[in-house]
Order: sequence, then C-alpha cells, then structure tokens
Amino acid sequence: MSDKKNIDRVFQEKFKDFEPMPSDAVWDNIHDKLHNKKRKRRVIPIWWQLGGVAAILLLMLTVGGVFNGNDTDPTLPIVDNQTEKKDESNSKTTIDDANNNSNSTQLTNEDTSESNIDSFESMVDDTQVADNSSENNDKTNYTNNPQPNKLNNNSSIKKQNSLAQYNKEDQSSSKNTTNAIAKVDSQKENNENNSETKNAIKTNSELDALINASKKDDTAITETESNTKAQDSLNNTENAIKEDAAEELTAQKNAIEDAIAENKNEDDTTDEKEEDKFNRWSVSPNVAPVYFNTLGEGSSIHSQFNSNAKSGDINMSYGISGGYAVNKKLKVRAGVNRVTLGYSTDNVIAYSTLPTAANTTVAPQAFQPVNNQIENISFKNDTLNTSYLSAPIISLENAPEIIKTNPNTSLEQQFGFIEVPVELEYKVVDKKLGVNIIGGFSTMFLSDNEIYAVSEGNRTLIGEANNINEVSYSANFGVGLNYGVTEKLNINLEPMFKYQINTFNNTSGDFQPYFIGVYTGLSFKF
Amino acid sequence: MSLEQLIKSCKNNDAKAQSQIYKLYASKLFSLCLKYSRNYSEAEDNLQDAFVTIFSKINQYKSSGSLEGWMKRIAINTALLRYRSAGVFDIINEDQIEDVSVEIDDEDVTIDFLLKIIQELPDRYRLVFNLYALDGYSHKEISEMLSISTGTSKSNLARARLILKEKIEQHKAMSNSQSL
Repeated sequence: MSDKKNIDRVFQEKFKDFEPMPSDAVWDNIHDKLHNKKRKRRVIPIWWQLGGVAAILLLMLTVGGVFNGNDTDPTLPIVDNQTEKKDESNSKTTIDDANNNSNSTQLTNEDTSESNIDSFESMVDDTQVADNSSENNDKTNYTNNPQPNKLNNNSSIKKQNSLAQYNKEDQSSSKNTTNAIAKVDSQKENNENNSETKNAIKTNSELDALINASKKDDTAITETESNTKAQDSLNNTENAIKEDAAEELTAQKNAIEDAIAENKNEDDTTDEKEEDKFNRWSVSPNVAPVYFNTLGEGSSIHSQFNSNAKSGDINMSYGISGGYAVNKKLKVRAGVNRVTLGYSTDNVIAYSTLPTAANTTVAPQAFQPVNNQIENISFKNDTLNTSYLSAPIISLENAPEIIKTNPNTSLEQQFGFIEVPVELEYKVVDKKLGVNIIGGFSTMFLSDNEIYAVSEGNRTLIGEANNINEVSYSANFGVGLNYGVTEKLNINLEPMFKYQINTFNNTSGDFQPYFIGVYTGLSFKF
Repeated sequence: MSLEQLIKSCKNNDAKAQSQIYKLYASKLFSLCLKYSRNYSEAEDNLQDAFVTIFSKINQYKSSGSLEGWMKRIAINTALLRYRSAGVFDIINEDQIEDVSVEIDDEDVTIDFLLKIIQELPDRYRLVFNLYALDGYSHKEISEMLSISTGTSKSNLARARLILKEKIEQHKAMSNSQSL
C-alpha cells in the first residue's frame, strides 16, 4: 500500500505535465476566423454603405434639380458637412450608445447583439484587468457585504473598480472623456430603469435570487442601485449593469464571434490603431481650368458652320465635393461644381441686313441672310438686323461686296452649368504620392447660355442658344494624383475628361462635345 | 523571434506570429480546456474560441503580467461563458456540506482516467474543483466568477472531491478484481 495523498495534490501532479496537442483543425479554424472573417464581414457593410451613399447622392440630385439655374454652390456641400460632422460626433459616442442600449435591452432580458458586445467586452476587460488589479481591492469590498445574496453585487463592484483602473491605465484620454460624458446620460437612464426594475421585482428580489435564474440579474441590478447610493458613486451603476449583462448573456459560439468582430469595430472608433482605421470622410474644394471642344466636326449652331474653324475656350470650374471611402481602395464621391464652357466658331461673316436698295437687289438668292434661319439661336431683338454667314461656304469671288466687308467675326457661345458629379475613385498607388483612377458621371443643370458675336475686339451679345437641354449628363474619366501633406490634408491634381451626353438637342453634323478639366484642390479628411 | 517581438507582431494581426504563439501555448491551454469541458470536442471548441479572443484582444495585453497567465484567464473565462447560458450556475437547492479533506491512494491512476472522471463531474462541481484545486483560485474569487456564494463553492468542492474519490476507488477495485 502506498501512502494516502490529498486528492487535490494527486490531480495537480498529474496535470502538471499534461500537455496534449489539439488537432490541426483547431488552428485552421482560428486562422480562418481571424483572417477570413474580416473579408466575409465586409461584404454586407459595403452594400449598406453604398446604399447610404446612394441615398445621399439621390438627395443631392433632387436638391440640385430644385435649385437648377441658380448659383447653388454652397448649398449642397453644407448638407455634406453636417452629415459628416454628425458622424464624427457619433463615432465618439458609439460606445456610450451601445452601453445605454445594452442597459435597456438587458433589463428586458433580450439578447441583442449590442448587449453581447458590451458583455463580451467587459468580460475581456476583466480578464485583462486581472493582470493588474490587486486582490486587496476585492477583499475590502467583500467584507463590506458579507451576505451571500449580495455576492453578485460585489463581483460587480470589483469589476467596476478594475474597470476604472483599467481605464486610467490603458485608455487614451479620449476614451476617458467619452466615459465621462456617458456617465451623466447613462446614469439618468439607469436610475429610471432601475426604479422600474425595482418595482417589478421588489418582492422577489431576495428569494428569487435563490430560485429563478432569469431574475437573478435583475436583482443584482436592484441591489447595485442601493449600493450605488451608499457608495455615492456615479458611474458604478453603469458599469455594474454592463457587468450584469456579461453575466447574463450567452456563451454561444456565434455570440462570441459577433462580439469579437463588433468589438474590433468599436476599438477602431476609440484608440486602437488597427487595419481599418482611417478617415472615411473627406471634403475637397476644387478649382479647374476647363477646356471645351468637340470630337467630331459639326456645329451646335447651324449646319453651315460645320466646316468652320472652331476653337474651344478655356474657362473655369470650381466647386466642392464630399467623399466617402468605402474601403481603403475605393471611394465614392459627389459634389457640386460651377462650370463655364466656351466655344467659338470663327470665320463668320456678319453683315447688316438693314434693307437698303443695293442690298436687296444685289444679293443673290443663295446668299440670303441666314438670320432667323439659324434656328438654334434665339436672337435678341436689337440684333435682328445683323446676319451671319459662314465664310468657307461662300465663294468670295462672287459674293456681294457688302458681305466681304466683315469677314472676321466669330460667334462665341458660352454656357454654364451646375454640375453634380458622382464618381468612384479607385486607389492604384497608396503612398504619400497616391494615384487614383476616377470614373463616374455628372448631371449638368444649365445655368448660363449666351452667344456673342466678336468682331474686331467688339463683343456683342446676340442671343442665346435654344438647343441646349436644361438637364444633361456627362461621362467622366480621369486620373487623380494626390499628395498627402498631413494625414488629414491632401493636395489633389486630377485631369478629367468629361464626355457630354444629351447636351444639345439639335446639332448639326457630328457634334460630340466634351470638356477637359485639370481639377486642383485640397482634400480634408476626417 | 523573442516572445516580445511575437506579441508585437500579433498586435498587428500577423498570421505567422499568431501561429507561433499558438504553437507555443496550444497544448498548455488545451490541457486547461480539457479539464474545464465535458468532453474532447467541447474542449477544442473552447480552445478555438479562447485563441480567437486572445488574438483579437492581444492589444489589451500588458507585458506586466505573464502572457501565459493572461491567456489562461481568457481560456477559463471562455469555458465559464459557455456554461453561463446553460444555466449551470443556477442555484440548486442543495444541502451544503462541510469542506472535507479527501485523501486517496495515487497508485495506478493515469492522467487519462483522471481527466475522464473530471469531465464526468456535474458541470459546476467540475468548474469549482478545477478553479480551486488545480488553478489556485480562492473560494471568494470562485464565488464571484460563478455568481455563487462561497458556501456553495466550498460545498461543491467537497462534493466534487468525494465523487472523484469514489470513482478512483471504484476504478481500483475493478482493476484489482480483474487482475485477480
């Protein structure tokens, strides 16, 4: 017979060197959860995010339509700013909200995922804190409340203490501030909730604790409240309830997974620098020289000018856009630009059509003035007496003298749009000097529309084009370069090509207007 | 790579470093998970969940404590969390018995057998016995972790010991009768 040994010691000794290796599948699962989960979880949020962005864009388009023709530049960006500011403050209070939510949901014993988050977080916090927290803390608390049914309470307090300690030690000041802000609100809420709970289970509070598991936590809350009063501590209740949530909620695998994943997100909004922490929102004012021209040979004014020399003018576009980064690579952006485009048709002969005897008789039928026949121009009344002819189609030899008198007039067409671009920006190079590919479309609302006759330095407004649509579109392509001055501030340079669609409803020849702009600007991220 | 470097890499979610840490600690934590679980597959689930938590939360690990201790606490918490939902900690109306010291003859008992009888214990007895006898938690701490009273904790421990002793003795009697 060998000596009798304490059973605890027997087990301790046997287990000391017991180190079995789990199957490989375990590591595979862990690895999958850590590294594939992210990708999987992304899928749904992207559509949510895109949906949100689409909603904002739709709103912008609607607003843009209402203000069509007015100078609306500042209006829309302000909408953007507000949303973004809200978002900023929201993200700061995310955790508080989650806490509050969990307080209320927990009281109704509903296992929502949000309360799971909290419960899990706090559980892990405890784990972590156990590293640092001294046992003395627990003991002093413990002896204050010797009754067994107050044990829940004690555990809460211990955890509160540890939590507070943890906050002090580990959290950045921002989180502390956040907590502080949260305290007032959640305290109010807790008091309300607690008093309700108290009434509901007042009679049962002590006995039920021994029998009824589902009400146990409620009891704990009630007791916590009274304890809070005694201790005169404001934030205990909050943490205690949070802790109770932890005790109540399930350990099911899915719940843990969710909690971990959600926790990650929460961490991002606070102080941990993790992979997907970056500034999603940005605002970029921009200005650009824009050059308008057409791809084919044609005229927006009249078929007789099809073969005339034409030149695009360089004008300015300015505006502001807001962007939302769906992920690190892809950004959706929308904005409002004021864009003015100019286009001149040269070699136009202008001559007076004031009826003079010579004129009416000499001018052959073929050279009848095309005034009013240029159906695409609505002439101003006082310019009706001037006619415009395309020089190249007239053989100058047999043209009447009067026509030759003024051979170097140009018709200068100017139109302005309020442009609402909606574009996707894909990051190709993500360095200090980044390169993007940009594609999208713009909705253009006509705001200016004028045609001038320019002759020997004189510029006369002769009317406006009547074939420009009030609303038109453009397909946009471009390459963006951006240089990060700081993490929040970028300088952008974006040469863009915008092919206009449905701008004119009655053009002659192959008139395919487009414009090129080199958009420069700053982009502020937050 | 030193442990510190490994932890640092793990904080950056580096898969290689995670794998290294896993290899270093998997067997220790698996042993722990086995004794806190009802069976092998549940232990593997716990181990898996524990490591996922560990790597997700490694940013919160402070080098002041030992990594192993920190990881063990997470593993234990994971195991406890599993039983919380199952109502294991519900207070059952039972007579509380005095803490007893149980002595056994440790001849001829294998670790496999010990593990088997630990896993066969009622859930709360198993948890209390593990926490107290094998992982050095006090009754106070156990009462907090399981939301039970210290009296219940002590009583559960005593019952666990008695059950274990009985099983070991049965086992011995059987093997003795077989060998005869």
